[in-house]
Amino acid sequence: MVDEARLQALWAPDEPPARDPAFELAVMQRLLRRRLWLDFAALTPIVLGAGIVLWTLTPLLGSFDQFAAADSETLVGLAVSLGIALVVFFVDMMRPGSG
Amino acid sequence: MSVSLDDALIAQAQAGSSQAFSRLVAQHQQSVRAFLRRLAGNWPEADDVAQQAFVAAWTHLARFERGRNFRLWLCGVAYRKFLAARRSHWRRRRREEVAAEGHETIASPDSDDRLDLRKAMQALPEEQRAAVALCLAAGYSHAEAADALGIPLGTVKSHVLRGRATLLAALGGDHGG
Repeated sequence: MVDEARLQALWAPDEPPARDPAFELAVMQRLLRRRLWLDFAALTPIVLGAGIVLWTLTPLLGSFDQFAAADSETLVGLAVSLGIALVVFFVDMMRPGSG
Repeated sequence: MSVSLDDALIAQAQAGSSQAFSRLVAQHQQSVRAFLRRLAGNWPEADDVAQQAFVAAWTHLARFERGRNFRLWLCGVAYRKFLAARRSHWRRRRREEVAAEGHETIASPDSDDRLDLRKAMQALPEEQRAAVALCLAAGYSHAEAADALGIPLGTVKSHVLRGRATLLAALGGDHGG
């Protein structure tokens, strides 16, 4: 038992302080960094999936470009038609007893 | 720290609370670092491994079974981190750098006996050193050390007996048991 006590006395200075804010902060910083990487890793498949979806939709987007490049009279006509449809819709909504 | 408070904090940490985990770090850092310092023989390296061990513990917290001794579980995680660090070439290089810094950062000069003890500890095989650090230095039972280190109880008993004799011989004391 005397030998054990001697060993323990020699080991005692290895004990860090009971509270060490600097160490705790360092751990939490590493933890945040780890979390960030895990979040990044979790988002990667979603971003890749979205990229693939966009890539497969490229032909459709291309046809939209062609549509946008059509003559301005067509676009104005479409905008006016859409505007009238919206006005009619809202007027109908405002009518008493429309539900 | 009471086991019930530990359990409450563990449950909160498992649910994703960083604050609860931070409190667990604060409560257990002393024991884990002391264990690693005796194991590594180098304080800066030990503290570096301790930080990694806490991050690993957070990552694997879902695997922790309620009712077990959380501090001992942490020591087990720290031991495995220590072994992984020692076996990594990159870590070996980093350890040399940290050790070079460490010579300047250790404030109090060691006594001859402490230096002898440290040298004798470092000469022990890693598993034996871990058993000695847990049982003789930290006062855990053989069964607890066996559970933390994941080795048979008989092996721990043998490690502690031989390690104790080696350390006392290095210190020039009686090592008959």
